[in-house]
Amino acid sequence: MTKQLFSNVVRLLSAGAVLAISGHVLAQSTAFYLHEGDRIVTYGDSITDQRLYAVDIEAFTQTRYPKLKVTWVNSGWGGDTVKGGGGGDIETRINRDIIPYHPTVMTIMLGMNDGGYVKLEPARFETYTNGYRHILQEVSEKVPGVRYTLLKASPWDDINYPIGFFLSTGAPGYNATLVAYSDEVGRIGAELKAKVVDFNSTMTAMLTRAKAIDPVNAKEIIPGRVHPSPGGHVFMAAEMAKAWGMGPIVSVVALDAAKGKVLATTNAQAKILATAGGLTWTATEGSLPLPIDFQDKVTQLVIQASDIVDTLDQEILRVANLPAASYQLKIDGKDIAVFTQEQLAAGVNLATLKTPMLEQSLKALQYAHQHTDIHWEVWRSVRLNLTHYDSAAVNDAVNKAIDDMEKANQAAFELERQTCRPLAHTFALVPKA
Amino acid sequence: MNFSIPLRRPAGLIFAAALAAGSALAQSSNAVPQKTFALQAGDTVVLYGDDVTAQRLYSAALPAFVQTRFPQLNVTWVESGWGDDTTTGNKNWWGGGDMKTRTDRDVKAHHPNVVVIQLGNNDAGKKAFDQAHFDKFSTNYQKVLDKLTRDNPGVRLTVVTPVPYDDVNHQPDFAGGVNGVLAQYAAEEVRLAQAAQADVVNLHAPMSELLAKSKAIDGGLSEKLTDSRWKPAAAAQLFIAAKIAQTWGLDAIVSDVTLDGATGSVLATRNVQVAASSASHGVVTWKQTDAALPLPIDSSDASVKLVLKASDLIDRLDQQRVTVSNLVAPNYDLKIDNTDLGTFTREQLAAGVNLATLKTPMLEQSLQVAQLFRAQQDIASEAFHGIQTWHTHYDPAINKHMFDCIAALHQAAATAAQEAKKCAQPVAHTFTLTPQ
Repeated sequence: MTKQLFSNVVRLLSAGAVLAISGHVLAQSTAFYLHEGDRIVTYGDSITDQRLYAVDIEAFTQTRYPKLKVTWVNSGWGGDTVKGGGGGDIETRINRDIIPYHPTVMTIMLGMNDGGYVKLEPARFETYTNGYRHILQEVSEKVPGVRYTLLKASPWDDINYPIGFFLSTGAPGYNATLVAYSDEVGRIGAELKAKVVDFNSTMTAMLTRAKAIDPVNAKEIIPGRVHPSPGGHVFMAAEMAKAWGMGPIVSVVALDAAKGKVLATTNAQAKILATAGGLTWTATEGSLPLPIDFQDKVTQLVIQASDIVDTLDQEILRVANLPAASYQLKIDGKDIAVFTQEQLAAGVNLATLKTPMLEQSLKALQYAHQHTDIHWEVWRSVRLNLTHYDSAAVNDAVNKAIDDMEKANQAAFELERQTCRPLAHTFALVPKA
Repeated sequence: MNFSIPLRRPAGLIFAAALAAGSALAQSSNAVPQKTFALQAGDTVVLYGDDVTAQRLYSAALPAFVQTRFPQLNVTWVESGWGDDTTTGNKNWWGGGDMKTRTDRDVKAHHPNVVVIQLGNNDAGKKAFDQAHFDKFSTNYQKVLDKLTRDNPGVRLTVVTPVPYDDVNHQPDFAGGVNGVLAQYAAEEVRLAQAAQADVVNLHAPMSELLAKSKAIDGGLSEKLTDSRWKPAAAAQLFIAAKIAQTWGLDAIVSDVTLDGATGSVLATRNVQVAASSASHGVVTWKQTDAALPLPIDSSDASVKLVLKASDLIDRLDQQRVTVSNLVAPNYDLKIDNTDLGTFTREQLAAGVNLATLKTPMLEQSLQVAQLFRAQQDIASEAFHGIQTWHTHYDPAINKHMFDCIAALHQAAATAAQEAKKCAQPVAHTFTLTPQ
């Protein structure tokens, strides 16, 4: 967390405000783009079909707003363009993979395949813009009131790989084509007053910074230049979360060790338990830190080359008036990290540490993956391939299996939501000898 | 419209002499197999192999070939192929585990009486012959045979040798080519199988020949008979199913009817019942109930057509014959129920025509049987490969539903197999020959 950001947070906290305020989470979520009851369909090509950014944004949302009841369906299909693709033509895709879910929110990321991996061609571009508008028009007619989040296509990596890889003409690289497509998405978004998230320029800038930091691992952010790695998808989900109005604060707990008092909290409840031999307290945070795998090297580089933690993932602990020089932080009896008195006085961010809260958050992410994967299996393997037999008896039996899979999908989602519920943890700061 | 139809009379066809006109005959029926056929009622057949089996093409066609020929036969079929499998299994994350896991979980658990083993291509790889590698393969193949025999007392084994690597339509990668190496692996499998008293389907040589003949007929299309130069495409997989069926003792005759066109009398039948035959004003009609269906082969597909042309599959396995002698008019229209089958010359009908490859109601019925067996295997594969393998490592609250789903899919697969058997049952059809 930057000092600037933390001082802003601190300014918001009244020095005298000791009481933990319940209901912060819902209060905080009112400015958020998603509302209670929203049904979100994430639509796109293979990058959406990877089931990574789409799952990350779900888990980011659910861990930040545990009480928010929304549903998520991923409808990406590898190779897709605005005209459809392997999953059928665009009418099939819309009518089968979007409309039946009655979305209130639909995100669209298309363009990577539409550009044809060649320099900008007017005919292709026209097909793209017409096709893109057609999708929006068709969905709006069938699902009135749907809100769109238009995602400018993630970049073709011309930063870490030689430009002109696919182009006999050399510069500009294929990403220049995607930029033109992205600009068009921006124009369409402006016309519709839709939310637009620019994956392309933000990720290109991140790739540039990553290359400067670690050129070897930077190539792994979008290995093969098209499909981002899990770390790359974390960046995309973070860009979505920011665009949707997610703020930086997971929770803030400010304590005074000398007085044994809770000075302030944001989105948390805290109570001092003991002051002898350090400081012990219990805290229940209203949100979980973002479910990010900080152990992954490529993700680490993405974090380093971006502002994700500063802008979205602040789980702040501030402890004033500690007497010893340094302290071991324990949560539920487990050693987490050692901090100096000064660090604790200034405030430390727990979000990136291996805390029980992060473990809980990652568990929620795991359930999000599971329900998304189960949906994929029932949709792509069973419903599409195994339900069109001439035998009604066979179809009936398969439909029973589909019902069971839908129940499994729902069970996984329920587990995700349950896992996001705040839990009380016992914190202790033990002076180091 | 005249059809060019093979007129060769199948070997062994015996004609009954001087049968009374209009008599309904039920001679030896193929509804259940003769004792010489490898499968018997109640058998469970596990098809154990690599990508070629996992493609569910020959492995779905074979049950359909058997069921359409022997509609009363009750056999359970289990497809247990796994892509990239070898004689030692495949311990990579996408593989089915080691050989013990594979044979325990994917074979023994199904309590088979018959196991078809289709392995060797992945063992040989795509490289030059290496004696040490070959020796290991031989040892490992023997281990597979030993384990299957030990695990499943009394099991009858059928060894299917490797499919060829297409060095016919493509330049070999080195002297002798991959296919030359595979020939040695095939020979070794034959040796081991014979020692184990297993049935042997030596696929390698005839399928290599099929590729060569196909190339001579249609070079462009013959390339498409394999994917990545070795995985047989659907048309070539029919050839595999045919070779296994032939090894098991499936013969040429679907049904055979001989009539006297002048009187309408039935002269001979085999595997068919004929009733109400008559000849009036040159029109010959009869009601025919074949005890078997033609093989489910859609010869309207160009690749299938090529395979049929380049092989003796139809002659050897798919003869649904009608012979009508003493016809007067030069040409006759053949109708089955309400379907026009085309026009035949008097000479063709006198020599006998094979209906098996025509779009008859019987072929349509047969193709439905094949579709249902394919459904059975696709559904069972989804239950196992799609769900049990990848979607049962969740929390118990989720798994509970996934296991219910797996049970439901197995039920669906079993239903498809039952429907296939029902669909294969004989149906009476009315045949009419009308002079043009």
